Amino acid sequence: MVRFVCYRSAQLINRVGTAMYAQTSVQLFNQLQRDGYHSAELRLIADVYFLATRLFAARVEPSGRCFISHVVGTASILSANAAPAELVAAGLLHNVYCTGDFGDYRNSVTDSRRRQIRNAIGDGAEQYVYRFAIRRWNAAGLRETYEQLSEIPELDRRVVLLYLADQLEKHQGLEILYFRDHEQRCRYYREFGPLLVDMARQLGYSALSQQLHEAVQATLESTIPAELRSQNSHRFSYLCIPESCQSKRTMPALLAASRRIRRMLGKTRRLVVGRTVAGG
Amino acid sequence: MYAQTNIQLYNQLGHSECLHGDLALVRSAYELAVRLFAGLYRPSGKTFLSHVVGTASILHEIKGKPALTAAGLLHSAYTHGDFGFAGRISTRARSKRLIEVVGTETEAYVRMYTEHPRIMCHTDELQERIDEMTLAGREVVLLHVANELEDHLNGGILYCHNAAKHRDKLAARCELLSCLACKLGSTVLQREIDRVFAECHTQPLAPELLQRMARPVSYRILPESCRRSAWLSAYDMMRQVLRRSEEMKRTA
Repeated sequence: MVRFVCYRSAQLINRVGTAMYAQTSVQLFNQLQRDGYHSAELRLIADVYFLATRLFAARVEPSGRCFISHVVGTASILSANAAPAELVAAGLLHNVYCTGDFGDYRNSVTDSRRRQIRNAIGDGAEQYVYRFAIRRWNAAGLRETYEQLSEIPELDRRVVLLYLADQLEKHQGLEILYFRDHEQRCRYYREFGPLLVDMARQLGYSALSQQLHEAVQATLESTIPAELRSQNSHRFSYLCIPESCQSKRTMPALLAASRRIRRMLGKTRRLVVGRTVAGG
Repeated sequence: MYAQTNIQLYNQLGHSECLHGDLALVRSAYELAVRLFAGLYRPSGKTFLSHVVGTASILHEIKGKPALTAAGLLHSAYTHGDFGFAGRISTRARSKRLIEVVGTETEAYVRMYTEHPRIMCHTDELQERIDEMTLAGREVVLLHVANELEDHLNGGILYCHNAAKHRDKLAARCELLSCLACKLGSTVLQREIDRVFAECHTQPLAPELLQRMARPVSYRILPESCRRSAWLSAYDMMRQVLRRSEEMKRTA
């Protein structure tokens, strides 16, 4: 028999383990109505969600979870922290420039991509998405942001809030433990977890800070059965290309190979027949 | 609260007592579901994967049978699953693939589920037949009920394009499902159906949040890079580079 091991109270693991925040559009839309967003704001967020379904179609986290669930969860955390509608909308597309599929085989910020997003969600929300993409979130960048937190402008403070929501979302239900490289990630959070908690506190989001603290601790102190851990080799989210598209891609190659083989066989046959005729 | 992601489902399994092999079965079923239902959405706009996870979660809560939970994850594999070659793959090859991953028991549930797609329409006849059904047959009916119940969780059905039409049918649907749950001998399920449908009844319709397109059934969104040919994208990229170099020349 298998049971999850958590060294903290069972209450905590249940709270982190069950859905505190939305994971589907339906749950998010219900929450937004409860949180009191007005009609135009709801329309904007719904439009952005349907755009996200297109840009993140078939994208999967290394744990196997739909990427859409992650962005919905991020938006849900922002909504719970009374963020403006534009920031909630940005939450749904926060990493679109790095992971969104625009059909241009790139993973960076380009003018055409920015134009496309600006047309869809407006200038204000796009600014959050853009700044999220250009700000460095690696160890050095995070330390720099932490040190300058009191001096950075309001727009960037909101982008930091977006990042904290993104980080909390990744800890929902101990997801980090389901990654194949969970040990490396746990080391990262052991070092930078307190920093994230303090950043949320400094921004004035004490509830978010407390949740981050609890979520990081639960992740670090729990174990899960190895059978449930992801078996794929992906370290970051990846595109799970539908099988029909895969066959579409491989079919021309297969057809070309078969044509080449047939041509070679024909040549060999002609050569053999020619020799036999000449010999005869 | 039922699971909507694989992580939540795994946590749910972890809190009940499951054997290692059962966990591996459910994980394998989920991994196959990810491949078959990539880019697929319900008419409400929810991902199809969330729907199958929710169905599996309900089944696990009610029955706690790993093969049936795995079948919940793959219940629409034959009807909605993308097995490649644009649907021109034989039924035999599909079932072979399913058996390789999840075994014969789970595959049998999925096959039986697919063979009776309109089972929920012939309710009176079905209610009479339930007593005569085999255990597997009754479990397949349970799978149908769980599938319907999942669509109504959190009022999901009320975000479809034709929400008003669905709303009119709520009472009749609730009565039918409740009756079937009673026939199947599951009072827990019957209570859950009443709770979920009562929530749906009280939920107001929000026109701003409804699905924008009229999608009566589940739909697939292909990733943009699969829709466009690589040559066309390379051509676009080349044009962009040329335009930029021209601009640089002009400014210089």
